[in-house]
Amino acid sequence: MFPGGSGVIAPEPDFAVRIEKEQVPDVGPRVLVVVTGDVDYTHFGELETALEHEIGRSTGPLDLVVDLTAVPYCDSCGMRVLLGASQQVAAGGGVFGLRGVHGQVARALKLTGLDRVLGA
Amino acid sequence: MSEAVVVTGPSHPGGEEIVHAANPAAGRLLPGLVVGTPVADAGHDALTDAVVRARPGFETEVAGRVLAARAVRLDDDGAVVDALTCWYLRDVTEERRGSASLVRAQARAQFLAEAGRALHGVLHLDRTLRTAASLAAGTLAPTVLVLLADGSDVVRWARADRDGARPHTGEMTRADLRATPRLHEALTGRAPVDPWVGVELAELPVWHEPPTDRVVAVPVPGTVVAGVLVLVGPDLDDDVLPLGEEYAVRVGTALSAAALYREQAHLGHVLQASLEPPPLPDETSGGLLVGSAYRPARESLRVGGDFYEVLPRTAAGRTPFLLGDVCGKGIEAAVLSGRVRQSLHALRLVEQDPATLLRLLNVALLDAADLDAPGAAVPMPRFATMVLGDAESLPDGGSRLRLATGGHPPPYVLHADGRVEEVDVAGSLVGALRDAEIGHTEIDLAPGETCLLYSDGVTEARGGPGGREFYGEERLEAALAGCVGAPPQVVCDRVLQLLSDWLGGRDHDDVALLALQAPRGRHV
Repeated sequence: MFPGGSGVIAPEPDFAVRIEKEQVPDVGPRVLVVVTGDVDYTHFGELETALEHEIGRSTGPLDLVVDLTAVPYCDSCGMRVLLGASQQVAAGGGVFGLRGVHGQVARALKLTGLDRVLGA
Repeated sequence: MSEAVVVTGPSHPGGEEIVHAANPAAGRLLPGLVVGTPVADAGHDALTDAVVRARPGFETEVAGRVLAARAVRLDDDGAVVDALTCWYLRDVTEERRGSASLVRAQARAQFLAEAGRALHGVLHLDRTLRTAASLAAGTLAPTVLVLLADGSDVVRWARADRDGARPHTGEMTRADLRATPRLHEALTGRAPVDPWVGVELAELPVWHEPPTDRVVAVPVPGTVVAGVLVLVGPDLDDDVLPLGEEYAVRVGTALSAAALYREQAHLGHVLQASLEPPPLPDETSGGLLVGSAYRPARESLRVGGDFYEVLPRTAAGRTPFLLGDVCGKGIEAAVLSGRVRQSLHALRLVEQDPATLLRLLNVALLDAADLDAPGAAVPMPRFATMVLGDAESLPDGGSRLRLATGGHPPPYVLHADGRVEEVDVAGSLVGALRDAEIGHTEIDLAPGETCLLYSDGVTEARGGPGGREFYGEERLEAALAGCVGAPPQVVCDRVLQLLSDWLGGRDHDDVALLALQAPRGRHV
């Protein structure tokens, strides 16, 4: 079907969400949520659960950063989760940010105007 | 208790087998033994047979007790022919009954486990019903009938006979059950099965011949269905009842799962149908030519989030159109998509300017979300992206488009010379932010020029040689450039075809395309 193509289908990268804690000098503790893989219809629930867990267990204003360096694709389900988390963190007086935004994710966030809201 | 012992042997060398000795315990187990008389006279055929044939042992039932005997030859002098035989007798009634019930219990457990597996893989109501009847036929009873009520007016049934042939199936209405009030009651799932229901069952048109054997009916409990499992056979013992009841529980669970699955799939289809883009209007007088393509994501329960429409020309001479995409998937997306379109229909009654419409829609959606979640401090955002606009004919035969966008990929214009240009318009998504920025612009299409609106399912379709590459803006632009001179429907079909090639059969998100074209002038 694709003349000249190798015919090899690259395996879909596995999806994973990893929570890390950082100490930011002069600011305080930061929760870093490192995501790997597509944040799409199949996987957004895992990210949503992880973010809700971190937000739910914080007792004070939260410094939450989602690292999307290893995320090649984010659909509207994923954007909804990110927007929801940022609004919840803001409601608690905290700070929400994105890191490592690139490629399709950067284009989609710019297109939807979420780049300015999510601090990408 | 002392062991029962009987000694037998020939009365004299070569003579008849007689009882030489028997202790009282043996006399109790084998009444009729008289020392010095022929073994056969005692009337215990198994003993006589074992003695005559010199068997190593025998088992027999006497007066409801199971006896086991083993022989020990008293042949220490080597005179085999005249040897005496000592029979040690034991009452093994309890042992035999115990192991038989153990074997039965194992067989039951295995049957129930296998039945559970077979039933649960089906997820189709009629097939589950047939399977439930045929699995049990021959195991629980020679003939098995399962009746099922799923809340509708229809009662389905399946009957299987031991012969292994395909089960017979049929349907009755509730009205058909007027003559069988006990069954009617049992099929509501609210009452236990009346033992006399078996008598009524003979009247139903569900038999090859009305049963003359014993009929046992047990309830099939379920969360969304209610049924009755009917076992028919000449020698059903009472043991079948507990097993039948356990089997019925498994059948009920499987039927409920199948019924729920059917309901969910039906709901998905109804919603999908309600979201199908309405037919595009025919060429609006003097106005716009339109074409469209829509390909929802493949999964059946994944109701699409893309939508588009072109409305009839307004009194002001403008043809409104829109193409959008709601966040998320499934029922929630369907509800949001419906809300977006209905809100717009209402708002259009008082406002026609696309940018103002979109701003009003943004407020309407945010207000509705707040109302939906009055307790929640921060409602989960729900939003849509869309391009919305209208078209007006120009005196030269071209069309003037007013466009407003919220968070959606900007449309393309295909010029008459094959140039493809992205319309410079951008805005933030609709329904999520109070301070949404709605972008708007106006463009003129010369006669024959086309404006293409699309959803991000197009550019984000993954495929190509490696299977993971996005289709992307450049390929879409190239595809569009190849459509110069084509009518708008052909433009959409062509782009969708190229996209399908790119996907190569892989799954994709919803894809929607809407092409608007200014008609070619008569003299062009």
